[in-house]
Amino acid sequence: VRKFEPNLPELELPPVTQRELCDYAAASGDPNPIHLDPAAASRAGLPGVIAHGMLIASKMVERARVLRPGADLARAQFRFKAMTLLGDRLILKAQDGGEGRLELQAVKADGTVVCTAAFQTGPKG
Amino acid sequence: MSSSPATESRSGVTRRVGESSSLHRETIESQAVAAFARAIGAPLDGTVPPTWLTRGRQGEFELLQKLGVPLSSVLHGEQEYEWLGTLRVGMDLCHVTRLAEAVVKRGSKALLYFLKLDTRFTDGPEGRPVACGRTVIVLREELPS
Repeated sequence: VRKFEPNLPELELPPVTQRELCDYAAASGDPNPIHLDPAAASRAGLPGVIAHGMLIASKMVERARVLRPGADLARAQFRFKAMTLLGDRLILKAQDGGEGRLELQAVKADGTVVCTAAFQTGPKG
Repeated sequence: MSSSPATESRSGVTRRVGESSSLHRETIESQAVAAFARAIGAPLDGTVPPTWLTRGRQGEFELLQKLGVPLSSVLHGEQEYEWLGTLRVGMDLCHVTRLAEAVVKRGSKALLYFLKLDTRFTDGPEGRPVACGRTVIVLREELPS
């Protein structure tokens, strides 16, 4: 496993809000109440409402597209490592891995990695 | 000790590998694309964000319901997407999701189920492949203490 050594500009996202999660739930068609309802999150044993993994992953894809303008995205692999709660500020860090590879991590202010992403650009398929 | 109905249905998940969702179908519409792009902070330039595919989790949700797994009890562990073509407004995006693998790991306090769900996206019900998705869902079941 190669070490993650960010060598591209990082981006700090604004704190996660409930409004943002509601908008994403509606736009993506994800009905899971653990992202919307504190009572449902509590019943599921969670410390509070958590952000959708794919909302964070989507922001990482958009960051990759900004860092690699015009590149054709062929593959992406995301691993969700920790939960993102309301108010969390995420920083997107990025490493150019060469040969069309791009790796990103979404990290909380305290250093907790919430999601890792590996992208391969180049011809699709 | 008797197991709850929920425990029985979860344990049964490993025997249901190979089951598929029905065919889900949605024409990609520009207004819905704009709402999605706004929600994730993508440019509003008429292109379809690559993670539009996450709208194609309806097959996963249907399959989990069929397997008796409540959505609020699962966590998204991993996600992979492979794009074989470009998503465009007007495309008749279809998908079917299949339970590809179910692995149970026993910890000291809980059983962890790792469900691998494969989704094939096509342009039209019998059309050319557009993308593949591979999802790992994690389901935790506390062991009696």
